[in-house]
Amino acid sequence: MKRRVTPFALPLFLCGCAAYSLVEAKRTAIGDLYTVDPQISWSSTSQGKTDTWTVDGPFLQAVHFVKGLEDGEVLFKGGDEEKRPKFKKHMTPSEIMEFVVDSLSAIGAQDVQTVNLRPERFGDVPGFRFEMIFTSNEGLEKQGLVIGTIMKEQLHLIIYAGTRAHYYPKHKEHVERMIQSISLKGK
Amino acid sequence: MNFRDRSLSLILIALAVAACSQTKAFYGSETLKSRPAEARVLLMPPDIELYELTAGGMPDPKADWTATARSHVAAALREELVGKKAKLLVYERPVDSPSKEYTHNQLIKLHEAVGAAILRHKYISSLALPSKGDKFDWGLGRGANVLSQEYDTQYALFIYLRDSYASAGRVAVIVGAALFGVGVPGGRQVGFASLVDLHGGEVVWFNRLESATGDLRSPEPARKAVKELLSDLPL
Amino acid sequence: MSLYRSVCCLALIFLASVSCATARGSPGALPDIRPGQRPAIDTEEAGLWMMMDRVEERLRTSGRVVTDANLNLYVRDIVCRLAAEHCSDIRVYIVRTPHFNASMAPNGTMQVWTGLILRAENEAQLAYVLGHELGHYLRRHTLQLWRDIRAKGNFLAFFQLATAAAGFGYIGPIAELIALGSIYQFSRDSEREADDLGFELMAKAGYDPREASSIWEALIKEQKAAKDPERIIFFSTHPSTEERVETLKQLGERAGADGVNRIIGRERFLAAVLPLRADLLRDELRQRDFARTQVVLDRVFESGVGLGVLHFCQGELFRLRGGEGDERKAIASYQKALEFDDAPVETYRALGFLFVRVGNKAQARNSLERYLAIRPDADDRDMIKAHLQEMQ
Repeated sequence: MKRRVTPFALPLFLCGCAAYSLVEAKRTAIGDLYTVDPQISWSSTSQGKTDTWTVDGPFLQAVHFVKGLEDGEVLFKGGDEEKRPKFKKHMTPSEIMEFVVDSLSAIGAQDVQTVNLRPERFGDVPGFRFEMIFTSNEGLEKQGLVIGTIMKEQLHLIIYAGTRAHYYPKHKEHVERMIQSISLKGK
Repeated sequence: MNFRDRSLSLILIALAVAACSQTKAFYGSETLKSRPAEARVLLMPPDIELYELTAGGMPDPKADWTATARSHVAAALREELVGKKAKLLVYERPVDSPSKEYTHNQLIKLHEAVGAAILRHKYISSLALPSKGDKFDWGLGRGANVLSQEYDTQYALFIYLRDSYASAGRVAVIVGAALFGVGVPGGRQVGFASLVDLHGGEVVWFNRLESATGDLRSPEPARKAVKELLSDLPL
Repeated sequence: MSLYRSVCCLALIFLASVSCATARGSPGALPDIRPGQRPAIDTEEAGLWMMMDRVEERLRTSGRVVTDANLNLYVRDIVCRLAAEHCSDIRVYIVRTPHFNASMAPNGTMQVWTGLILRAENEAQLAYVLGHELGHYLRRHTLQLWRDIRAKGNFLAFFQLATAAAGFGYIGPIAELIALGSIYQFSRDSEREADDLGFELMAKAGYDPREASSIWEALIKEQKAAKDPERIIFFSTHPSTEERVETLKQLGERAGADGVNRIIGRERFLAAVLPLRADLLRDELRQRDFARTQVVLDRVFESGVGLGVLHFCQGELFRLRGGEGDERKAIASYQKALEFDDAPVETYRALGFLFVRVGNKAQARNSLERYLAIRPDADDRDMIKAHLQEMQ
């Protein structure tokens, strides 16, 4: 039985791997590349190269930190990865946006619309940002924002997504401030 | 599988692991500020389905049982709420307004997602959210207000009930297995109920039901099941 | 909906050889469904309908249903022409998914997946598939199937079937659709019956039955090209042998041999479908099975219309495939697309980025500037402007 655990969908079967730990409201390292100020406490879990922080449950809202995806890797692990889009190190932000959209669609997001792709600082290096809306597998409206950059041929993303009603707006300000607080290590 | 299926499958798994747990209710951190003399409660479409286990163990959906159960549960609900001096209104699909129907459906879907999150993170200890601690503060947000305005009520009650119980052949199998110490899952009722304050959208009360017996086909056991589910309903 | 019910729906897919006699007139066969008929509430059929009613409710609010008014009217019209006096018992849902399928539930819910709409060339081909599914409905094959499952009653087998489905990689959106009860694996006899009845209905409604084999042939061609041919859903439920295509061809020739003028409905079909085509092709491309998508694209090219969009999609295929020499091929396709009026404005943007990649800065600037000129309020204008600045 292929096990599929993704940040955007509940596991089909309890796998006992999703235990959460506490992230306190003080500067925290994300992988080896940067630190952020979480603003509030979060509950954190990890899968592969992605750390997921949530307050009310990952389907309701979550911040996903994708830490250094390499050339040829998929965004959401599990299931049939062969058919999924893969990150390529020469991707432009437009292509990365397409990569995120198609990856979401592959795990059940419907009707993904992106808005306002634009350049945006990631800490103090150039990056990009866009917003999106989509519908969950069951037809519930969701909303999201994505900010990212490529450093040393690796993709770093911060994806904040949640239910359009109530849960996305609930911590959006915290996430915006968290993004402003990105501080790249050892430069 | 949709959200409900996942959440219910998690309940079933949790039940297999946990000891026979008692009903355990949670109260919203914003407890009811005032208890009006006669609270108006909107009953959202109860999600109830009944099956029969055939001798081979295959669940068999029973339309007549389900229809009967729905009316018994509705009757039992009315009684319970009257006893609590609450007035029960029944949600009706706004068939003449697709946009209203869409908005309402989004709320119902949001509630399903919230219910599933509560079941996961409050009833399964290995999945607890440490940043939440003992807080119980889930809700639907201010969007829930549309229902409050439409029906002029403050509260909405959501109910999910699943019951599968043995047909004659299966009972024999269960007795034999129990006798030899091999526990075969028999009749089981699984469900939860939540009370939402429609003004701010908070889930002010949530209760999971798990009991090994009960038969929603007849009025008295249905009343018992509903009573158990609504025990501690703060109205 | 419960876990059990999803499992049951999944179980309806992968039935091991069911030896049910469903041929018309054979012992134990059910009478055909009558218009307006509903099962009495204490019957097992009522239980099945109840499940299907709940499934329909979920489908309606799932966000997967295509709401385009024109297309819905068009398809409903075809169904009603085929279903005659049963028309008012049937509710048609067009479901947005790149997979090819159509199905009817016993309670009258008909699903038509957009993968089917993309692959049909004309109204007659669509009518054949819908007529075939109507055949299953009219002969109540699903209820028979349900009874056979229950008679054999092996609960554990259902769990095995469920995991088998998951093992096929049916997760995410397609798993949801499967759980929505859209896939049935009928016996060979049932399939033959549905084919026969489908032909009858097609002919009665005035369609050219020689079109029936064409859509099967197209699917088989796709299957041969596909990366995972066993995962073509329609084939897991409908036998795909060459033998069957032959039978259909013969049936078609025989039925169409009387020289009577019959509807193929190419223009009408294209008019209804063209507005959706770019979106449907994008859905198809997104699956990243390029060999298979090429077969589909080649077939759509044969329609001879909407070539701007089609050449753009061809370019997208090359770009996404990204193999040796694909960049040049993509550029050529995008440039070809621009010769037609209906080339999407994204063609210029796609060209721009590819020119950057192959080192042609001048052409890149040209294309991106053109993109912004045509669409100054483009959603990603800030990004494009930043690229242009970089190239200074």
